[in-house]
Formats: sequence, C-alpha cells, structure tokens
Amino acid sequence: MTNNLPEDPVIFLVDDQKITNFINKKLIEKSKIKVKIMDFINPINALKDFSKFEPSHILLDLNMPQLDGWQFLEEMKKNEFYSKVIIVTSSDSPIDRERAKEYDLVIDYKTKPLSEEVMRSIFE
Amino acid sequence: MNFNQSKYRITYEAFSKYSSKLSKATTLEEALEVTYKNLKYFFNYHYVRINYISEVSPLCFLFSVPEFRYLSKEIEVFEFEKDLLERKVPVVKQLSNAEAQKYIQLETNALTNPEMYASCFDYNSVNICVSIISDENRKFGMDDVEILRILIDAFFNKIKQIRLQNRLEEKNKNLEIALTEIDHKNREIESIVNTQKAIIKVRTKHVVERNERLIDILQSISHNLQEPLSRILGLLNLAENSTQDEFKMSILPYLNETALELDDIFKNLIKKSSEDINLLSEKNDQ
Repeated sequence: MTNNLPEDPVIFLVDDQKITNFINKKLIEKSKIKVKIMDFINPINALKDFSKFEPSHILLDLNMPQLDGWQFLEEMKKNEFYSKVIIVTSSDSPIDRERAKEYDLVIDYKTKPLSEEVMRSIFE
Repeated sequence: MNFNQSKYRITYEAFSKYSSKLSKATTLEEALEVTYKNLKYFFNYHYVRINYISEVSPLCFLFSVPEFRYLSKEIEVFEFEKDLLERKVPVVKQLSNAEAQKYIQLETNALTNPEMYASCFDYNSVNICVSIISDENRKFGMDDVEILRILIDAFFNKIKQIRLQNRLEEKNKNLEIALTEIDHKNREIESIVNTQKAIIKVRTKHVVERNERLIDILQSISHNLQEPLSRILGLLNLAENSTQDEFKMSILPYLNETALELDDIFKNLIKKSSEDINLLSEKNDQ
C-alpha cells in the first residue's frame, strides 16, 4: 500500500474476538469514514506495531486474556504512546467507567454493540 | 414583777433554748433526748406520756424523771385516751397510787396524792394524747397548760419533719435499688441479644455463603453471556444493510459461530449450577 497521496489516519481495533473486530471494521467502512483500519486480536501485537503506524485512534476492549485493557493503557503511558483511546466493552460497569476517567488518553467509553451512528460520533 | 410573770419569762427562755436545740435534731432519738433534758424547765411532773396516735405509724413517748424511752410497736391506747379522742376535752383527775402505777410504764419516784392532767391535740391525721401525772411535791398546774401546748406543737412538727425525711431517704434508696436492678437487667438483656446475634450469625453463615455463590454465578452469567450476545446484536445490525454475498460469506458463518459459542456457555453454566445446587443442598441437610 504505497502511494503519494496524503495518507488516511490509522485506527487500531484491539479486541480478542475476531468477530467483534470484523463488526467494527464493517461499521467504520459503512459510515464512510476515511481511515486505514488495522485489527489485532492480541493486544501485545498492537503495542509492537504502534510506533510503525502511529494510530490516531484505538478502539480498546477491556476483557482480554493476554493483556487486559488497563494493562494496555499502562503500557501506552510507559512507552509514551499518544493516541485517542475509546474503550469498547460488553459490560457497562460503573467501576470501570470511573476507572477510565483516570486516563487522559481515554476520550470515550462505549458499550457493545456499536452502531454506524456511534462510530460517526467518535470520529467526527 | 410578780411571781407568775417571772415564771413565764424563765419558762419561755427555756423554751427558746429547747426549740433551737430541737431544730438541730435529725433522728427520733435525738429529738427525744433534747426533749427529755429540757422538760423539767417547763413544768413539774413525775411522768409524761405522749401518745402519738396515727393509723399509719403510731408512736408513744414516755418520760419520767429518772428515765425516758419511746415505743413504736404494740402501743396500748388507754381507756381515758379513747375518751379524750372522742370528746377532745382536757381532763384533770385525782388518782389513787394503784391507778397511777397502772398508767406509769417507767420507773418513777413515790407519789403523794397523785393527779393526772390529760389533753388531746388534734393535728388532722394525727392525734396526740398527752397525759401528765404529778403530785403534791411536783405539781403540774393549770398555768402550765399553755407551755405544754407550745411544746407539743414544736415536738409534733419535729417528729413529722424527721419522719418525712426518713421516708424520702428510704424512697431514694428504693429508687437507687430499682435503678441498679434496671441497669443489671439491661446488661442481661444486652448479653442475651449479643448471644442471639452470634447464634444468628452462625446459623445464617451457610445462607451468606450460598448468596455469595449465587452472586458469583450471576456475575459469570453477565460476563460470559453479554459478550457473545453483543456480537450477535452487532452482526444482526450489520445484516440489515449488507449485500446477499456479504451476508452469506461472512455474517451468517459468524452468527453461527457465535450462537454455538453461546450454546456451549449455557451448557457449561447449567452443568456448573446444578453441581453447585447439589453441593449446597448436601450442606443444608447436614
């Protein structure tokens, strides 16, 4: 994928469920948002590829076996990775919501499933 | 100044000393002793009997020149005292020595032509019958009646005051005992309550454990079921605006995969909860 046009911003989808990443990818495509989407079912790989792609946004799941969302955010802080993080989780827990406020990186907290409308509201 | 005037003056001076001493007395015994010591300064007598007639708490004070005492039980009301109570008219009576001895309940000196003066003083709930036996050598005269009246007034008021004070003290003491008893009972109740609380805690322990287990199950349901369910909802949402190919190639297989996953989770959950239920009912049977 090499061209000379100004490149579209990169978005990381980080969720251990490939189907969830598929759904979110489709939603972004359908909402006609001009971005380059990269999906990861292992959050460790997302961290490894961060510097190379420097994503503008990350849609981050909380409940993952290798590294949970909180640990992922801590790693970002440690490595000084700056990117707008949207937490996307299936359980709407008030405790998690409060905890998310402690991170400056986190700009939003959404519960699954997302919709085209929600996607547009995130990237506008 | 004639003889009578100077006699009155001396008597009233004696009475003023007596009443100041009496006011300091705090017990029946003290009041009695003060009265005994001063009686001889007021009038002549061989024997004085003050019968404090009251239904609730009768008393009888006896004074003779060599001794004095008081009775608080088994007090006899003499015939002449009964007459006095009824008529309230003072009596002066010559007595034979034998009659005098019948009334006198203390040791006294020999009498010559004994005479009795008796009078009843009415203080509403209490009647005081005073009888004085005198004789030629120690003569109680009619001019002594006035000082006797004043003396009995002062004496009665003192006795009443002491008795009220005693009653108050006794009531306070009873109240204190009652308070101590209440305090004791409260502590007993508290200890019973605490014991009951401990028993309830022990007995409800397995209920608490079961509740905790149920909460665990509930949490695992919400965690394990919500995630695939949200995927199904997401896929259905996509399906609405998808092409036939898209639906057949990706959405349907993913729906299928997720539904099977959900089915698996349910099967495991049912298996696990029935195990838990068996375990719990075994515990309850114990």
